[in-house]
This record gives sequence, C-alpha cells and structure tokens, in this order.
Amino acid sequence: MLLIPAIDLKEGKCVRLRQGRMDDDTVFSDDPVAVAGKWWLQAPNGFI
Amino acid sequence: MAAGAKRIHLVDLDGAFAGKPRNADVIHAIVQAYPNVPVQIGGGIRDEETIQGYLDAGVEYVIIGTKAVNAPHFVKDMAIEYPRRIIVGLDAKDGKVAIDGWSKLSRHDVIDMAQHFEEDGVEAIIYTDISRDGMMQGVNVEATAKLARAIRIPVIASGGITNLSDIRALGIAAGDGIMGAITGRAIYEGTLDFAEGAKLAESFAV
Repeated sequence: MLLIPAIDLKEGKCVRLRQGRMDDDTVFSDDPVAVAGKWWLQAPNGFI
Repeated sequence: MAAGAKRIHLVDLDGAFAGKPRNADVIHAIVQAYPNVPVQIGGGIRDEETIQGYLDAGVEYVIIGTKAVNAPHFVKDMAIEYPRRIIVGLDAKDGKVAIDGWSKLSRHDVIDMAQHFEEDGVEAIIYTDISRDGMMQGVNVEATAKLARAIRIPVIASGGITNLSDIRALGIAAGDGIMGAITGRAIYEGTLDFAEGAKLAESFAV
C-alpha cells in the first residue's frame, strides 16, 4: 500500500481545508513546488 | 521499486469550485521540476482539453470528480481516449456520492457508481469519506474496504489518515484492494511523519 502525500492548491498556495469549506483553510506553504520536492525526497526510494 | 510506484496527489481547489483549472501554472511547475514524480491531479477537470493539457504537461493521472457523477459517459469516453490515465474520485457520506465541492449529497450509491466506472475502464477509484476528511478523526476502514471488495480496480483511500495507527488499520484491509492512502493535514501538522508512514504503508501487500 502506498502513502500518497496531498498538496491542495488555493490561490497558488499549499493549504488544507476543513470539511471541504473554502473559507476554512490553513495555509501551510507559499511554495508548493518546494513542498512537492520535500515529500518526494522523504518517500522510500524516492529517486527512481 | 518500479518506476511509477510512488506518486503525489495534487488538488486544484479553486479549480474544483470554478469548474476549470485555476492553479495550472503551479501544477505545471511541479511536474517540470520533478519529471520522475508521478502526479495525479484533481479539481476542475470537466473537459477533454483540460485532460489533454495536463497529460501533455507530464501529469500521469487525471482525476474526474463532479463531472463523473453528473455526466458518466464523459468518463467512458475519456477512459477509451486515455487508457490507464483516468481516475475517478468519489466523495461520499453514508454510502451516497457527494458533488460540487461537497455542498450536495446525491442519491447515487457509491458502490453502484464505482462498479459502473470499473466497467468503463477507469484505472482506480479515489474514495473520500467526507465525514472524516480534514477532521483528524481516523479512517472509515469499513466503508473503504467494502467498496474495495465490490470492485476489481484499486481503491485509493482519502480522508482521515491522522497517524500511524490509521495506516495500520487501513493496511490490514489493503488485501481487499486498497492500493493507497492519501494524507494531507496530518503530515503538515506533524501528527504523522511522512517517511515513517510511507514505510509502514508499504509493508502491507495489496
């Protein structure tokens, strides 16, 4: 089984919503490209 | 580990609400920065031009959500046109499919719909239990496993992965056909270490 990291994008930022509500978001990063790289590097055997 | 065995899940939230891509530039930047990373993208995918655009940009899988419920024949057409690249995302609560950014519950039974999409040739079903997602309340293992047993294509679980225990609980049912679990808030808030969770998840055979 794979663990798949999610990057949810709102106005170009990496956010999470609660219960799918657009007005109830938490911004985790302004740089989603860097976030993608971070998760990829941490995946087992990330470089293929 | 074979190429394509890992992946990243991207969601264009603005796109999901607008019904068309709103963060395509960021998505293109991600696939260009990491060409070896298989990406699945959902949110605002409601026409063939959008699908073609993402696949041409290097996205591996596109996820059809609301449009799959509103216009199921679109899924069939796209699955024929782009074999192995189309995933259907079904958001559900109490066995019924939700649409339009979770604002509405439909009368459609999630298992009936998933079986229909399996026949249409989709690659996988992403099952989001919307009573759990983003609320850090654990996974609805029972509902996810029930769906996985009802179809032969893989199920990817979304919603409710909070910690290692949730991965373990879902992993025990992996053999029913649960190929993956999407995690969001938990890895951002730090209740789950992604590397540790990924390693545990991979210890469960699908």
